[in-house]
Amino acid sequence: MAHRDRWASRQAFIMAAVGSAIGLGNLWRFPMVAYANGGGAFLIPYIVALMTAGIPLMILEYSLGSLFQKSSPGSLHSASPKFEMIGWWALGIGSTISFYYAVVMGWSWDYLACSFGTLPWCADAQAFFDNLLGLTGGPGEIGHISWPALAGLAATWALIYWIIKAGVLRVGKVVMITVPLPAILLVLILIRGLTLPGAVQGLAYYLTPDFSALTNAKTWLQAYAQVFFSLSLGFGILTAYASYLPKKSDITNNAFITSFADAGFAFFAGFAVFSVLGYLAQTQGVPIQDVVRGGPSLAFVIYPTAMSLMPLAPIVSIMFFVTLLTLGIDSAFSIVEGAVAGLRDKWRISQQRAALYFSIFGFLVGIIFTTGAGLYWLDIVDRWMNDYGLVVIGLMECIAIGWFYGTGKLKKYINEVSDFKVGIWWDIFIKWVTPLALGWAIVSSIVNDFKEAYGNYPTWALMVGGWGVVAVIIIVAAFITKVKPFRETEEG
Amino acid sequence: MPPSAWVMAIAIGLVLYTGLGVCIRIAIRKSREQQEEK
Repeated sequence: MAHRDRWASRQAFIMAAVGSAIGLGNLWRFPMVAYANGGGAFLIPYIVALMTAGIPLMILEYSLGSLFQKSSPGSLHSASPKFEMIGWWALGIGSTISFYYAVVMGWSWDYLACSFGTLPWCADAQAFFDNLLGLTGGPGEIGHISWPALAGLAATWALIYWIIKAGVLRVGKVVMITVPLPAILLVLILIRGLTLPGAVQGLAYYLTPDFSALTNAKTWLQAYAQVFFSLSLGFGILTAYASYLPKKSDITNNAFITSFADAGFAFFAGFAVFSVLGYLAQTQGVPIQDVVRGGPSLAFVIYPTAMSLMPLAPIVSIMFFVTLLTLGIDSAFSIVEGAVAGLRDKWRISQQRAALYFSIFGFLVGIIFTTGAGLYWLDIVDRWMNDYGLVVIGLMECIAIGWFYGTGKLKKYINEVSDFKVGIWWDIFIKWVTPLALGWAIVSSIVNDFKEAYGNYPTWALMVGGWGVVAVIIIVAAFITKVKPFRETEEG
Repeated sequence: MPPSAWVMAIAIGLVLYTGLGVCIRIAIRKSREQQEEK
C-alpha cells in the first residue's frame, strides 16, 4: 500500500487544472478559429459546446480520479479492467504531445533571449524559418539539428523535471506564479496594443458577428473541437490531478471554474492578438487578412514583426515571450505529471525517478523536432494526435463510462461531494451528445483525409508521422496493460 | 467597430466572467463553511 500525494489546498488544485487547460492554443488557436468561423458569432456555438461536451466530460474525468484515487489508467482499471488500455492510450497521446510541445517552448526561450538583444539572428520575419529552424524543403530532408532549438528544448525539460520531481506540492506552488502571470502580462500587452493605431479595426475583425456562419456545420464542428482541445480533455491529466484531491472533494464546481477560466482567457487573448494584428496591418498598409496567421507563425513571425515596429519593442517582446513560456510550462508539466502518475501507480517507482526517466526520454525524442524537417513532422504528428488521438480517447471514455460502467454510479458519487448536483442532463451529454459530437469530428477528419492529403505532405510521411505514431501508441498501451496488474493505493 | 461587435463582446464577456465569478464565490463560501465545521 502506498501513500498518495495531496494538493496543499483546493485553490492549488484549481490553479493547476486551470494552468493545464490554458496553454498556447488559447493564444494562437482560439482567436483565429473564431475569426475564421463567424467572428463574434462563433462564441455562441463555443459556449454551447462548452456546456454540452466540455464541462460534462471534464466532470467525468475529475470524478474518475477523485472516486478511485488513481491516475487515468488506474481509475479506468478500477471501473473495469477492460478499460485500462484507454488510460494508457490517453497517456501515450499526451506524452507524444509533450515531446513536441517542449520544442515549441524551446523556441520561446530562444526568442526571449532575442528580446534581450543577445541573439542577433531573429531580427526579421524569415528568421524563424531560416535562422532558428533551418527549415528544409520537406519531411524527407532532415537537414541539421538547430542548436538554439536544442538548447531551448533542454532548458524546457530541465524545468519540467525540476517541477515534477517533487510532486504536486511543488506543482501547487509553481502554478501560483505561472497561472496569474501570463494573465497580468496579457493585460499589459493588450493595453499597449489598444494604444496603437489600427487596433480597433483589428478588434472589429475579431468580434463583428457573421450569424450566417451558425448555419454552417463546420462552425459547430470547429467549436466542439476547440473546446475539446483547449480543456486538456483526453490526456489523462485531469484524472491524475483529481486523484490527488482527498475523497469528498468537490467535482462539478471545480469543472465549471476550470472551464470558464479557460474560455475567459481565450476570449480575452483574442483582444490582445487582434489589436496587434490591426496595428500591423495598418502599419504595413495591407488588409488584415494578409497578417492573420495561427499557430507558431503567429507567435514567432507575425507577433515579433509587429513588436519590432512598436515603441518600447524589447519590453513588449520580453512580456510576450514570458507570457508564452508561462502559458506553456504548466500545460507541459501537467501532461508529464499525468504520465508519471500512471507509471508510478503501476510500477511502484519513485516520483523523482519516473520524472527523470520521462524527461530524458522526452528530450531525446524531441530532438527530431529540432532538425530542419522538425516543423513538418511536428505539424503531422500534432494533427494526428489531436484529430485521431484525443478525440478518439474522449469518445471511448464516454462509451466506456456512459454505456458500460454506467453514469448512475459516478453521478451518485459526484452528487454526494459536489457544490452543484448533476441531473439527467449529464447522462444525456455523456451518453449521447458528446459521443455524437466527437464521432462526427472523427468521421469529418477521415473524409477530409480521403479527399485531400493533409498539408500536401507525401503519403509515406503521413503514414509514418500520423498513422505510424498512432499505431505505436496503441501497441505500447496494449503491452503495458498486459504486462503487470495495478497495485492498490491508500488515501493519504 | 460596429455596434453588433460591441454587443457580442459585452454579452459573451458577461456570460463567461459572471459565470466564473459566481462559481468562485460559491467555492470560497463552501470552503469557509467547511473550515468553520472543523
